[in-house]
Formats: sequence, C-alpha cells, structure tokens
Amino acid sequence: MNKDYFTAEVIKDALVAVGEEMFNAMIRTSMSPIIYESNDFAVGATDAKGNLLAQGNGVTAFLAMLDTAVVATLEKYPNKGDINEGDIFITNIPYAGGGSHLSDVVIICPVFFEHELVAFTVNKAHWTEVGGAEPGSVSTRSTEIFQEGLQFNFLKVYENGKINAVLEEIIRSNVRLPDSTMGDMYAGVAAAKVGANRIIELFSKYNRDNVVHAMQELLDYGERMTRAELKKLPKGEFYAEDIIEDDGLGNGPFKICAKVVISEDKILVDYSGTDPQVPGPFNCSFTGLVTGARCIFKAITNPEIPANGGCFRLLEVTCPEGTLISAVAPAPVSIYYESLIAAIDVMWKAMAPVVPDRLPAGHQRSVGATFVSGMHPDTDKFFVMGEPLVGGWGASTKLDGDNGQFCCGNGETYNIPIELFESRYGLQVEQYAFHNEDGGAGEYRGGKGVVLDYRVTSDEAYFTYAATRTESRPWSMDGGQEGSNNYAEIHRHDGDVERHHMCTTVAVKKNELIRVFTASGGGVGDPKKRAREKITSDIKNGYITEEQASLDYGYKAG
Amino acid sequence: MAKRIGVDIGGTFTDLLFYDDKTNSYIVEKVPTVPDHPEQGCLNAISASVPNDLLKETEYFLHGTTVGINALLERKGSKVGLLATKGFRDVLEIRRGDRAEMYNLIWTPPAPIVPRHLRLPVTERMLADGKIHMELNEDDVRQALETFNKEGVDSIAITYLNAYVNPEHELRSEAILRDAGFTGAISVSHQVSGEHREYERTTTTVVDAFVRNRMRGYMQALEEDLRIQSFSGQCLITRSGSGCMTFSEAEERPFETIMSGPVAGAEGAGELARALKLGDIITADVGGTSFDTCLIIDGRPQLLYQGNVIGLPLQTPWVDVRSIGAGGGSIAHVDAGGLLKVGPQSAGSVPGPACYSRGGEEPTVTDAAFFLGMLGEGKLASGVKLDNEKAEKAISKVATQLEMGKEECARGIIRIACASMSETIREITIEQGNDPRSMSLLAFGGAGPLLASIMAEELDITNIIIPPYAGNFSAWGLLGADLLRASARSHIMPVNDENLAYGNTILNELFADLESRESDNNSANWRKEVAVDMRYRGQEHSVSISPPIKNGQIDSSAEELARIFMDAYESSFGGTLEATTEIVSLRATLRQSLPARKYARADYTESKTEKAKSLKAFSFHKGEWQDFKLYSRAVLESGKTCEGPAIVTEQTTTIYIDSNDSFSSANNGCLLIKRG
Repeated sequence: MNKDYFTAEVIKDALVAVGEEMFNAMIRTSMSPIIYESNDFAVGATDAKGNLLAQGNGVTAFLAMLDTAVVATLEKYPNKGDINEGDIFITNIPYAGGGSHLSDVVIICPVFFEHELVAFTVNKAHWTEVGGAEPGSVSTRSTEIFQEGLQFNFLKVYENGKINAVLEEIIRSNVRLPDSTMGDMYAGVAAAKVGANRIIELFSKYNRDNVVHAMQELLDYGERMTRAELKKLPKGEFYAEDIIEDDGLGNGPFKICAKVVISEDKILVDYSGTDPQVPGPFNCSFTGLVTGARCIFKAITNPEIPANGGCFRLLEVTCPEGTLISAVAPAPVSIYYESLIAAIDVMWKAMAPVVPDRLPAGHQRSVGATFVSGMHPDTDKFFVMGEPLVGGWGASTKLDGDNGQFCCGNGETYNIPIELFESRYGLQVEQYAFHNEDGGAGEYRGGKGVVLDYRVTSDEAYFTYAATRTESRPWSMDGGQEGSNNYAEIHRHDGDVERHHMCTTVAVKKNELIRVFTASGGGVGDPKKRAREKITSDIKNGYITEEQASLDYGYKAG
Repeated sequence: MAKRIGVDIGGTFTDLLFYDDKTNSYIVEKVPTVPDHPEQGCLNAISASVPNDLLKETEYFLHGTTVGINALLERKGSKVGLLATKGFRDVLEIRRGDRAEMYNLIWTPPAPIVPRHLRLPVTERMLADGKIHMELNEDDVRQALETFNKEGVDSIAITYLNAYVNPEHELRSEAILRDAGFTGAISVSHQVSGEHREYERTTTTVVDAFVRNRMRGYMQALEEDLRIQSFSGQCLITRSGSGCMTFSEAEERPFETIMSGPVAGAEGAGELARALKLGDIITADVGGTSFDTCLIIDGRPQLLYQGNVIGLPLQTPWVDVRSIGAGGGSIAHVDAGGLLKVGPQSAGSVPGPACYSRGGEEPTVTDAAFFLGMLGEGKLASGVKLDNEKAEKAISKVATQLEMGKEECARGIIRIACASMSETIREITIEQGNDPRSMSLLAFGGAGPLLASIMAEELDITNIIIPPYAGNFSAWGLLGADLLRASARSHIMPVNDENLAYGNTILNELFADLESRESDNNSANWRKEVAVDMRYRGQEHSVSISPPIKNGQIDSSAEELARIFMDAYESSFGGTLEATTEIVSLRATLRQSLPARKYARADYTESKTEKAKSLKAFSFHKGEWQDFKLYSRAVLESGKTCEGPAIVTEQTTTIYIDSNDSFSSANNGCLLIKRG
C-alpha cells in the first residue's frame, strides 16, 4: 500500500467537494431564476486532459456536457501557448463537445499551478436570453440553428485576465435583455474561479505530485467501483426501439433505437438505425446522446458512486453522424431535450428486463413544458408562465410506480406552488390531481399522471406546449398494460374541446380552460395476478375506478 | 438564579446536567439511552445523580428529545385525516415533484403520511388575495367526518388553499367538526403556519397532526413521573428553531419541537459566545452516533425558516445544524471499490465499540483512537476499563482486508472520520462564503474534544475551545435556553409606506396571537423581535432581514427598509438588481430569558493531587508516536499555558492535544487550545 494512501483519500474527498462548492457558488452569484430556482445548470472539474473529476448537477441532462467541452477546447487549442493563465473560454455550439441547445452556455476555466496547466473548472447553465427569433430563445418551430440565437465557438471570453470587449459588445447588441445575459455570464465565470482557487489551494497544501496522484486515484476508484458493479450485470446483447411522434413542424413519427452490448469489461450502446435528423427543432447532438447513455449507465451500475470520468471509461457510445440524436449543423435543436430523454428511455427499455431491480417500466418520458403568456388582469403587465410537469413513473418488479414526479431529464426541479402561481400569472388553477385515464394496469401498477386545469383570467392568453408520448404510450413489462398519453386540451366557450400534442402560441380567451394531462407509467406483470387486497385498496383510494378494476384486473366485488 | 436540570437524549447516551444556584456548582451524569422508553433513560439519569431534596427545590426541567423525530422515522403516530380544497387533495402526494436521487431511477419518495382515501375534498375556494371565490360546502365537511369516524381517524388536519390569507373556511370547518362531535386532535393550517406554499404548509400541518398524540403522551408521562419524584418546577422543551417552550405549549404546537435534540448544543454555543465574547464559532458536536455542526455568528446559531426531516419540509424556524452519521461509535468497513469507509453504521451503546468489552467486534472510531493512545489509559468515569486487545483484534479485521498494518489502518479510520466531519463544516462555512480560519472551533460531545485538534488542522483553524462539561455540553446548553414563541405570515406586497403600515398591522396581530397562546405571570418580561422576508419582484426565494423596531413595530421608512434588504442581498449574492422590492413574509418572535446563571470555572470532582504522568500516543501532526503528558482537567492551573502533546481527561470526555498545540485553562471555565 502506498504510504500516502490516506492523504490521497482526503484529497479525493476535497476534489469531490469542489463540485459541491461551485454548485453553491453558482446559486449564490447568479441573478437568474432559471439558475437559482430551477437549478438548470451543472458545474464540474476535470484534470488537465479533460477527464471528469467531479460534477454537481441540478438536472441529469448535463451529465456528459462538461468533460466533453474541455476535451473539445483542448482539440481546438492544441499547441503549447494556446491556453494561458487568465484565459476563460465560452461555447454553446450544439454539435461539438459540451453542446445541447444555444441557451445552455459553457464556461471553461483552465487552472494553473506554478505555471503548469493542472486542471479545468467548467460549468454549463441555461441563460435567460441568447437572442434569436423567439423571446427567451426557445422555439418549437425553428427550421435552422440561426433562428435560435448567437453561437459561441470556443471563444476566449477572457484573455490574460481581461474581458474580451468585442465579444461583450456583440452579445449586448444581439440579445433582448443584455444585463441579464451578461449577469449569467459573470455568474458562470465567478463559479469557475471559486473552483479554480480551491484546486490551487489543494496543490499548495498537499504539493503537486500528491494531488495529481489523487486525481488519477479518484478516476481509478470510479472505474474500480463501476467494474465491480459491471461484474454483476448479465452479459449479452439487448435491443429496444421506440418512436418520437413529431418534430414540432408536423413531421413524423420518427424511429429511435438502441442496442446495448454488455461484455466483461464494458457496456457498448449503439444507436444505429435511428432516423436521420429532422426539419424541426427536435434534433439532439451526439454530446446530448452521450449524456443520455451515461444516465442509464449510472442507473444500472451504482447511482451512488460520485460521477467521474473513471466510471465512464467502461461505457462506449456509437451512432452514425446525422441522425435525430447525432445531428450536425445547421440542424435546429431548441427542443433537443425531448429527444435526449427519448434516447435515455430507449436504452432504459432495452435494459429494464435485464436489471429489473434497478430500472422500472416506462415513465411519462417528457418534460411536458407548458407555456402560457398574456397580460396580467390585475397589473396589466405582460407575463410568461413556463413550467415542466410531473407525470407517472413505471412500475417495477416489486413496487407500484411513483405518482406525479418530474421526468428523468430533470432532477432537483420543483413545481411552482399554486399559491404563488395565481398571484403571479393571469391564470387560476382549478385542479392539480391524479387522473383516471386508462393505462398502467399490472400486477404492479404504473404511477399516476396528473391533470392540471388552468382557467384563463386575462382577456386573452397564448398557449405553447411540446411533448412526446402523445400517441405512443409508456412501455410496460411482463404482460403489464402500457401507460397513458401526454396531451393538452382547450375547452372553448362554445363547448368545443381541442386536443393538442404540440402547439405554439394558440390564443385562448378569458374563462376558457386549458387542461393538461400527463402520462401514467407502464405496468409490470399480468394485472390478473395483482393481489386482491391491493386492488381493493386501489379502488378505495381512487387510484383505479371500479370499472377499470373489473375490465383490466378481472376484479369482482364482494 | 434558579436551580435547574437539563436532560438531553441522544442516539447513544442520555446526558444530564444539574445547576445549583446556591453553591454555583454542577452535577454531571451520562447514562445509556433507552430507545423504546426514552423517558425511562431520562428518569434513570435523574435518580442516579440528583438527590431528592435538590430536585424538590428545582425550578426548571429543560429537555431535548428525539421523540418527535422518531415518531416520524418509525411512522408511529396518529391516524390522520386530511380535509383539502376540492381538486387539490393530491398536493401532499405530488410534493414538489423533485427527485432527490436523480440517477437512481428506482428512487421512491417517502410515502404520504395520509393515504389518499383519508384525504377528502371539500368544495370551497379562497383566492390569492383572500377573496372568497367559492363558498364552503358544509356538507362536504360533515360527510368527510363520517368517513373519518368509520376509519378510526383520531387526528384531523385542515389545509385549504390560500387559507393563510383568509382563514374563514378553515375555522368554520373546525367548528363544524366539533359541533358534529369530533373529540380528537385538530390541526389547522393557518394556525400551524401563516406562510404560503401549499405543499409545505400541508405537510407541516399533517406532521403536527401525526405527532400530536404521541408527543402529548410522552410529555404528560414524563411530567407525571417528575411530579411523583417531587419536582414542582416548570417543564420546558427545546424548539427546532432555538429557545424553548413549556410542555403545555408544546402539546399544542408539537411540530415546533421535532429537532429538539441537536439544537441544544448550538444554543449553548451561542450563549457561551455571547457571554464570553468568543467571536464567531463553529461547533463540532461528536456523540456516539452522529456529528452535528452549526455556525454561530454574532452569538446566535444560524436560523432557517424552513426545516427538512426525512424528506419532509416543515414551515417552522429551524436552527441550521448539519448532521452526518459519524461519531465515536461509527464502524469502519471496506467498500466494493476497496476503500476504507467510516460510518454511518454505529455500534451505539449496545454493543458499543469493541474495546468496551460488551460484545462489539467491529472496529469503531473509539477503538482506533484508543489503539493509538489518544484516549490515554482508557479509564472511563463509569468504571469501565477499555480493552486494548479487543480494539486491536477488531482493527486487524479491516487492516487485513486493506493489506496494511494495524496502526496505519487505525490512523486511517481517524483521518477519514475527521475528513468527513471537516467536509460538513466546509458546507456551512466556505460554501456559504464564511472563512473558517477566522473562527474558533468549539468542540464538545463525548468524542468532540478527542478529534478537534485533527479537524482544526484539516480546516486550518487556529483556535479550539473546549467548553466546561464538554461531554455533556448539550445538556449545559439546555440550561440557558430562552423561552421563545414565534409566528409568521406571508403577505406579498411592494415596499412602500402604505404597505409598511399594513405590515405593522400584521405584526400587531401576530404579537397579540403569540401573547394569547398561554397565559403566564411574566408577560412583562417578553422582548419583541421582528424579521422581514424580502425579495425582488419575480423571484421566488427571499432574504430575511432584521429591521430596526420600536415596540414590535418596524421603525423605518419604506426606503430605508428597501436599502437594508439590498445591502443584505448584495452581501449574499454579490450584487443588486434594478427591480421592485417586495415584502413576502413578516415574522414576530417573543423572547424571555431564564434567570441568569454563572459561568463558573467547572468544578471537577476528580482528585487534585494526581501526579503528572505521560504515555505514548500517536501524533498526527508529527506522523509518529510521541510522549503525551497526561492531565486531569481539574488540576490544570487557570491562566497557565502548557505545551502539547498532551491528553487531558475529564469525567465525560477526553481531550487530545497534538504536539504542535499549546493550551491553557481560562478562568471562564473553557480550555483553550492554540495550534502552531
């Protein structure tokens, strides 16, 4: 055993803590609600080669977007002297390392100790505004990337400690809220510097060699822990496919598929066979795809092991260029997250029968982002309400699915309390409850989706909605029933009910009702095998109706 | 001054401290916690140490307990029925929709305390501004009661949307339940919490309803037992949000005492810091099972206005004590990646560490410390003599797995335990923008003084303070707790002079409500305190500020109030925004101090004629074994500086002082250790 075994341990813990520290620094220094309230960001540190040492996440969807950004920076600046003390880089290119959509911007800070490049700190956050055709820079109807905002192609936003004034001026002139946007950038830079200082402190306290050794040890430890878990997984090839209904422009459905090959020393995921990239903004880049694969990889190895590059050494992801989930320029990518979640889900679907103790059946598979804008009736000010919605998760082989949770692409995401919602927006919530749509029956029942009613109180409001699983349903296992659909309705004054799967700024009049349903999760096992007392309890609790009990479960009262 | 008893029930030990105002002296006792009957452990401690004639003259019994939190952990409480606004009965189950372990796809949130069939809808609706949108349907309430009665519900929670603005429907529903003959407990949301956010207020109300009967039963039984033993004073219990309240008030507001346990130590630290002008302090409370740490700034523990217990948010003031499962009894083991881990499993008081010879075989932090000589000769006050062979045998189990020597392994156990404690301290200091190097580390609990020197080195802290009665310091903290009552109400409004006047009206109502909670003879002694939660329009989170006040009213202009907020915002977030400032909530607190007590130099009972001895122990600073001088704390001469390495023992703890440290016993009763 190495003499410095425990010193290495202490440094390793401190490196993991750097991630936490930057996470809090980001929240503390940020002036944007998207960051300090929705936690739509991630922070992390890598070694000098871009191997991920530690990461702190608010949402799962950024898991492969920090280390790949550093690797891409190193590729773009390969020569000695390209990267200097005081430089800070910025990128939001969707198709390269670190890329998702233009709103998510990466800040990369090289860390020097005694003039040697020893590490990087890096963060990625959803900025309030990056310009483009739509306010807020998120569009469900863009047809090329240029409509979605500014692109920063691994530029030096700071050089030798000085801000790049030309770049700053370009940003300020091209966004709707220049102060907020610059505030987002400063928050990212501040958080990266906090982490950099902490790493430099470690180097001066424990000396260079010990810390470099501990970094490698940390990665090797991640690999060892993951390898121990990999050993327990069954070996073989596992395949699943699924669809994405729509690209936002009415095209579709599109096929997405994954083949997972588990061998002694790695997990390979091959997404070949997925449809080519699409005209609408549902495209996801290869980086996004790697994030998706890492999410499931983490779930089936040990989700409690801190995420680092060592864990992911045992994962290989392949997909031909130019598919819906490996899109290339100039594909529009604004709603990339729905396809990313579909990529998570299809690998999940391939693996669930193999590791049923780690993966439940299919869930709502959609952020279900719902936006309503209009003039507030009390204040006469323009409001934009945007929120992700909770839905039903799938059952597993031992348990019923969870009711009403955010999808796998979210994480530390919180719904808006109704008591705040109504004072803020020109809408009144009339119900927020589990629904009784058919779906999810099984020996173990899928979790319940919700129904949410917004009554419009402004003279006119505009409704935008994007989801998947609007026609397909969350998948089941072992003879369970599939879940239900995500969809929205508008109840008009004349009694008309319009059903929507994807829509942009549809006008809704005062006192008309917007009703959104989120999917229930898939069931597991033959419903006829469900224990009688559980069915009785489900009826009593209103999780199923008596009619569903009789039709789906063959239950007879008495 | 007044005689008083403090009893703090922890996971492993029940600690007692008795203060005698006549002799200005203390009695110290430590007995094993009785997990199934905590009140029995409490009585055991009293009968073992406090003579009956002293108990008779005692004016206050102050208590810190884990009964409330255990009721939640074990889910053993009342059968609760919930009345909710129609359309929103699932709020309790949907929570905020967040997933605490985002990569764990089979993570399951804690089950709702009230099952769906006992969450019944009532037709009624208040709007956000308090206007009635839909009248209360009284039949819905009566029908719900029929169901509750059939199901054997013995506690009802009423939570309607926006009831914090207009409680009319909640109050009428309560009256209807009583008129219809319901005799069980009723918790009403606007009385539990006047703050917005329906999920958090609903959960708090439901928790209140759930623990009410059990807490009441516990407190009544304990008080009765104390009366039998001829105690005739007042019974007080610590609040999660600092201070204490009477048993009878706690029976009405049991949710305020959920975190009663770990708060007492933080309170004591605050009192000590104020009285002895110790500056800002980090507490390191290491017991048998857990490590608790808290930041004391300007003599007060840091306070939050929302707590969280096993995934359930509670809308009540909450001292920001962070806990991890690492203590003297924490067990060392090797994980799947071949790494040495310490805790969170603990050997507890039964079987205890291997060296206690009570049947424990797994190596604990205490075993490693004793093996390394850090516990001196290993003679405990209870008469137990620690067994070095048993410690060695337990450690060698893990050492073999790691292919390393026993000594190296023991060092590793101590270092890893200290590293995880230091990490937790970093969370509340560096990560909140506070530099630990400018603060003192106050170490207490059975194992705090043992590990403080190593932790301080890890965090680069220069000054360590070991308070008097360090092993029982939480009980010491109980003895000085202030009586406290607090209430808050949300009312979102832009800051202007008119709204400020309305805010003062709300404060008047809040203080009137607080004063009426329980009649007492000393109402003139209450001091009023006010805090205001403020934010920029459009934000969700707020910053709490303390404005200047005069007799419970905000004594500043709207402009000044906004300025105070912006200063606080800038110091938290590094800048201000160009946006309207809003008042979100108003917070009223009544505070009353117990009669003063003296901080005399601890009067230790050990013999004062002992000769200085020394023994070999491992110095973490030097990385080698050295001669450590052995002292009894009682014989340390006040004001004289001694050089480490040394081991100082007292009745309930052992102080490890490394070779780079010097130390002195101050005449205020504290032992001061200076590193480097």
